[in-house]
Amino acid sequence: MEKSLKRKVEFDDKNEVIDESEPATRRFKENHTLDSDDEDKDCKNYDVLNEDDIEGQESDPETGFDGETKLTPFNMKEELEEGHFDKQGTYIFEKDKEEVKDAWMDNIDWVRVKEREKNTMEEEDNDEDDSDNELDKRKIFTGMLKIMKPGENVLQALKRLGGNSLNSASARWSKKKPKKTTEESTANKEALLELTGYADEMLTDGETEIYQYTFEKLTHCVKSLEEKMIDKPLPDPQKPVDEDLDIFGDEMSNNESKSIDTEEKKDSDDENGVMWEYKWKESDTELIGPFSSKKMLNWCESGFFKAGALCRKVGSTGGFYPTSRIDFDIYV
Amino acid sequence: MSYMLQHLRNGWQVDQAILSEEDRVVIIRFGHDWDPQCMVMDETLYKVAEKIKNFAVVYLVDSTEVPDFNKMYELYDPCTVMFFYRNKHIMIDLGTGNNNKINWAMSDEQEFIDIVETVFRGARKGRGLVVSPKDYSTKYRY
Repeated sequence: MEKSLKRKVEFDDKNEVIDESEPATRRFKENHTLDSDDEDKDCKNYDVLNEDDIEGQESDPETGFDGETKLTPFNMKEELEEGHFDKQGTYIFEKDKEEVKDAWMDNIDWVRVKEREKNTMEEEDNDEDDSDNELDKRKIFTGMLKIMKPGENVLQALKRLGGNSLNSASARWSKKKPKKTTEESTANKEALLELTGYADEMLTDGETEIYQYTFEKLTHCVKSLEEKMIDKPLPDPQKPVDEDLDIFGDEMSNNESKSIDTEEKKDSDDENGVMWEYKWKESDTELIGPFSSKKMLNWCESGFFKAGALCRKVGSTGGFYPTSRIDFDIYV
Repeated sequence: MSYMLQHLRNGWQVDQAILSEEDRVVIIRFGHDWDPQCMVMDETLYKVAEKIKNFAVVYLVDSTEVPDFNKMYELYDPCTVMFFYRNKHIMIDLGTGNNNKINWAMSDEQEFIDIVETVFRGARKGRGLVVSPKDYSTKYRY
């Protein structure tokens, strides 16, 4: 106490040169001890500059004007609320003073926030290549969908179109029905070129997986792009097929079952979560599925199951539950 | 089958059981081992305990021996099953109007497993209330 009093006097007189040397040696010594961290704390108490020693403090801060500019005078009281001066006159913020927290922060459900964050991150990822040509993309997708058949991916569609023209070419040789086959093959060729063009556009757009996209996936893409609810979701067999394709309907049928198989396999690979199968009525024996939880969730949200359907997990032997009571969101 | 499942003998044990479980659902059956309804429930619990052990753990509490929770949880039924996850009571919309607990004996194992799974998945997603796959509004009274 005596020491600090003395130093205070020295500080007030302008003998700062002498004053400097003394605390410097003291600190030097103490810094050698291992627990110098603790010392900081101890020092703090008596290194603090007494408030009375601070010169130039305004007792009553008043706002002044410099021409048009409003001046906020230096307010020492306010400054001292957030920290203090040590003997050297260095201002030290009090970090350990608790930060002011807003009460609303307490109510935040951080689990949800994190989920949202993840979602928006994903969306942003997608947005990067979407944002400019969203309309274009939608056009491309719908164009592709016109050419493709349900349960088929782009590669398979290309194969089908290309293969057909080959088949019909050989058929032309053997059956000698030149007129019809040319019609067929030209239509095929056009579709083929169109699809290739679309796929290429998507590929250059950075969609490297485009050839693996299935009909369903594209439908989903279109849907999410439109952000509208489509009345009839994906795997509806009644889905109208483009007229161009109807001509070749017969030739495709054997391909189709295979491609649906691969589609399903891919689906389960994609998301190794819970898979679901559903039926429309209790009396139905035919099960539709399996589908991923995500798909089921989408369908539920789009009102696909509005009429009421029964579902159960694939592999479960238990009873069926109404889809209205299943919260697919928690399985995603 | 009650003797095969772990009993909690006092309030502290119950609290600890709920508190200490980090990532499993804690299922607690309040009631009495000798009660016929509880016997049915315990049978189901015992059978499913092994199957659900990865995401849930079952305890039995004698509501006479440990009366601490009777008032708080309104345990007036002979047999009550409640679910907790990370020290939080998880409610279930069973269709019965009482979302706090299952207050009847369930004998269908698969149904019970499905409920527990729903509770687990919902709770992990931060839900305080989940919807049971089955609606028990009309069926459960016999």
